[in-house]
Amino acid sequence: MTNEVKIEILPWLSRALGKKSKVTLTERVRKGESLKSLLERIALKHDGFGAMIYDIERGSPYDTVVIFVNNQSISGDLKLKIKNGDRIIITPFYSGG
Amino acid sequence: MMGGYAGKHLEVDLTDGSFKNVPLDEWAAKTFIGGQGYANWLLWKMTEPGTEPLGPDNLLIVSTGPITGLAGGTDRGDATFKSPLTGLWGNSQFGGFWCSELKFAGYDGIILRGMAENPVFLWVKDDETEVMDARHIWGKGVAETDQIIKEELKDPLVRVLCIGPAGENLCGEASLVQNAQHYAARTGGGAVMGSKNVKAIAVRGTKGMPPLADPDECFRISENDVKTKWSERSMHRRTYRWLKFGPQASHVERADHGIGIFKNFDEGDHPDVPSLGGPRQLRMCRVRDDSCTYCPVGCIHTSLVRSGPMKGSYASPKWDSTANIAQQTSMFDMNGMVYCNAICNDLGMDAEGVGNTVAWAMECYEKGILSREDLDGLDLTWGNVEAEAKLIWKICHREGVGDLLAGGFKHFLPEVGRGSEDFAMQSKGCGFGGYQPYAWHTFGMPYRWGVAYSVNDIGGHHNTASASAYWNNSLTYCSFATGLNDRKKLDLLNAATGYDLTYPEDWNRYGLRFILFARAYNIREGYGGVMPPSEADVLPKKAFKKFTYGAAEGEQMTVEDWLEGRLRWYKDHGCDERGVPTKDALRDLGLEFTIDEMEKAGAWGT
Repeated sequence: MTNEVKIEILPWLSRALGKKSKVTLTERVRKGESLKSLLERIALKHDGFGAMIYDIERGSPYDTVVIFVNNQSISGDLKLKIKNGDRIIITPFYSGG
Repeated sequence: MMGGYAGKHLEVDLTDGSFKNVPLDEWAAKTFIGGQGYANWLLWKMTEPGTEPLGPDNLLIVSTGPITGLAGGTDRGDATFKSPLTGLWGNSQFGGFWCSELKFAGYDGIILRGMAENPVFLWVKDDETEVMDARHIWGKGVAETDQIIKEELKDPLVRVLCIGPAGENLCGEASLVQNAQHYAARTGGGAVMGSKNVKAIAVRGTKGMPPLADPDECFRISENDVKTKWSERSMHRRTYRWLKFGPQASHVERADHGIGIFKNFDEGDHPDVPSLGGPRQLRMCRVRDDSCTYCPVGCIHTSLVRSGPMKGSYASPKWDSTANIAQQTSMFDMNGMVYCNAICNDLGMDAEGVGNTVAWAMECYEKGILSREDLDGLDLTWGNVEAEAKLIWKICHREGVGDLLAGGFKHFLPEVGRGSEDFAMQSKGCGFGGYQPYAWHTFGMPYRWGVAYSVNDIGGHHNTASASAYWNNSLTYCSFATGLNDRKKLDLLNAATGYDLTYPEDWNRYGLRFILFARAYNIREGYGGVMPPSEADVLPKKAFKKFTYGAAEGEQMTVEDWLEGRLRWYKDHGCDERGVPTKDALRDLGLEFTIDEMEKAGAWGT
């Protein structure tokens, strides 16, 4: 069975992959693969992702990035195991008032 | 005595002009902390169910918290009352200089009840309190009021919290205003103050900060807070953004995110948005930068219209207010934005709320639901600055069509009807903030903004649907100040008071308590006349539209998405599927004293 997850990258972070509106990636994941490993893999594949979303050198997303996995906010817990069918949303942090 | 608290509230009965000190209840302080949380407990305890929002029995409680005045970002106050806009719990926060001044005068808060016969203002100088004649300033704008009171009291360091004509005219969106530029804008606190014939509360405190449990630790945390704000690491960029452009930076950012609120929430992106953004404001009209007490962030950027027919207009625009007053109405005119903002500010009106009303009226005009005649001859087309400004003026003064619109959505939608409810961007009578409902709430909340708007205890506001927001408002700590994370805020509270609250256990437990207590109050009050809560925690049809342009192209929150999110929010927050807190959750959180009253209101069925 193929293990796949969908990763929705919302604007403006979608510019990392050359689009103005939302980008949805479908990625294969290995059994027991962590979120960190998945993000690193995508960052190595797409330069923009490494420049705007995931900082490979620091080993963490940039501070303006918020990640939800299956509607749960992931606050620094990149060890989380990703499994088949997970929905990952990557959105910029909004602030203002 | 716990550290950080002044130890008493000042209660003023305007009907007979008497006042007394109400000692701090130590159990309630430990249970509800201060600010929003403690004030809600006072409101619950000191008012009867079914209190008329604009009647003498309603209270206006303006309060501080145990860390108010202790560090940058803590000069915040909370206004709590029963809202004339929604019939629900009314609540709003403000910054500036007034709150630490009140604390330094020896009070944790002021409670207004009753109704004065003639306009008055309250003068509090340390232990002395006086009810002063305000007939000569009734009708004046907030800037002039502030100045006259300071001159009369012969002290430029007096801090003034006042209302403008909108509050005097009992407009549902009237705000309380500090120093003529800090607004407790939402849900009509200004109208409650106006109903009591109170124009202002002037304060001067010279006693300094109340004793702290561990002053050295408080200093260490505050110092670290400032260093964090200006560190090379993550916060630096955000602090720089606030300092450089303020919340106005959000105009272009939100459009880039696809979650702007153009043309009454029709689209999330627009090609003309740079004309409203922070960089353009900086170049074109910024004249002064300011901050609240001690705050090293300084997000207030005052703007002046330098030329043309609106020359001389002066305001400190922020994001939600100007998004609702400019993006919403398709006004891509920097001067017009400052001008309309200045009108709202000086008349003491919530620009965010009235912007929603104007945008709705424009859509009504476009669709033929409101005619030019209905609008007193105003050609209320999208982007028409003059028509928008005139309509705001009319609403604040209850002139002509303004009288119909002044009460807010809950009051005028049943009058106008004809399908206009479908695009009235509000929930429970309170207009939405500056985020598209489909967008994900990123303040640590795994819900879409539409879920937050619908479940919010004050109506469709962008704040107050999360534990963090309730905590900030109860401490009181500014969510823009950004230097202290939640754990550090709790450390500061413990050091100030001597509490031993833990993170994340107590933090989460208290946060849930604050949320459910507000919900319990709303249920006690009949949830604005719509029970069960799930019948009122709803959104207009337009919140579910599919976007067609720019960064938002293809985006949509479906009804199913939203219902799933709302049910999840209910479950995550101890409520059943009808949005009613379960008795077990209330007991677990120490809120069992609310159960009887909720039962009487039919919370769990008859």
